[in-house]
Amino acid sequence: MPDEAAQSAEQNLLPLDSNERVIAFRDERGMPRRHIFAPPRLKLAEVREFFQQAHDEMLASARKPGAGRDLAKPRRALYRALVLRVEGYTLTGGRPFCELTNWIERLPPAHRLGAVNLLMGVTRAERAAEIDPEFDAVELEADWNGAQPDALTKFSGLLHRFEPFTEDDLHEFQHKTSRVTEVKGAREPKFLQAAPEKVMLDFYDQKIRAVEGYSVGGQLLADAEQIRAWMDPFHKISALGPLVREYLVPGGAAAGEEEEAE
Amino acid sequence: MRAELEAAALAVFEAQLEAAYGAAMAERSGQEAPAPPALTTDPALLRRVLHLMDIARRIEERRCGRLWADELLGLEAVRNARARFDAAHPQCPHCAAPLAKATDTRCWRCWSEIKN
Repeated sequence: MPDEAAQSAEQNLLPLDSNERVIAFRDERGMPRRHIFAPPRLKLAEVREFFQQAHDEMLASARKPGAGRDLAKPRRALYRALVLRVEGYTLTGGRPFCELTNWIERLPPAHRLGAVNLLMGVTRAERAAEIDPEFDAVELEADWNGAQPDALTKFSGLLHRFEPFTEDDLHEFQHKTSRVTEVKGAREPKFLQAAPEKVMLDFYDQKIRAVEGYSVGGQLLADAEQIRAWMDPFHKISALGPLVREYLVPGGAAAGEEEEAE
Repeated sequence: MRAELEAAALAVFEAQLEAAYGAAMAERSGQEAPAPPALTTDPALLRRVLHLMDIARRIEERRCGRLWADELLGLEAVRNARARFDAAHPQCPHCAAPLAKATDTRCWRCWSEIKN
């Protein structure tokens, strides 16, 4: 029986069911480094927490510009929550690096941040997806585990098809992402707000209808239920985010309504 | 929370007037429009208030569907803020622009004389 990952690679399908996410790169001195993570889809609570922390930091930074916020802190927390081990690092004396109790702290900070950035790395394809007669489509490109030990494999043609948003959907999105809760007992007035990405994850699951370019068990994903279960959360955000922004214009009206009003 | 939302909404209304007033004065004098005033409102509150103002606009246009309970409370705060703003900035009887001050004798937008 052929190896499923190899089969997917042959078909140029991104294998969502990789047991581990391997981030391989060469560092500034040309040394091959590998950071092995748990798949983010299996650590959704931690991913959601990352988005919330990043949003909280952004709000705090907007409240007090120039107050020296540590905007990389959420990424470091995400690294710690997801990393399983590293390869390509050696200790003096030749002992295995991950035997250290504090091996995460002993890694160069730039490597940790670089690896977590690559783990989240997915971009919208420059080539616009063709207009679908029924669905809203967004095409992505991403680096993922590949056959090479010191590099990632680029996958393109990652197409996500969504049921078009209604005015009620957009209202719900705006409602959920703008709701504020006051922090009781804070020295200065402080308000919490849900990170938009957390709401987007729910909306993705609600609106996704089909994807192309991904595989599970070497096969294309068959239905929305399978997509919800297996899709990488960073791919969900990267697919839905641009779509939501296209729908919304300043003030929160739907772009389509402007056209109708003319 | 309602008091904070009301204060944030009032700050937005005032900033909108200041921006429109500044642009009109600049146009009249042939100068470049000044930068819009910077709001010191909490960014989370500001986002909520802009959402509530959008709902208020959609209700006026009769195209708003269901509302959440906290949106209804928030809308009340926006309405109160609007009432305070309208009291501080009566409308020009000619063009309906809010006057910069209640005691103004000339409208900043249509330049009509106002009889107090």
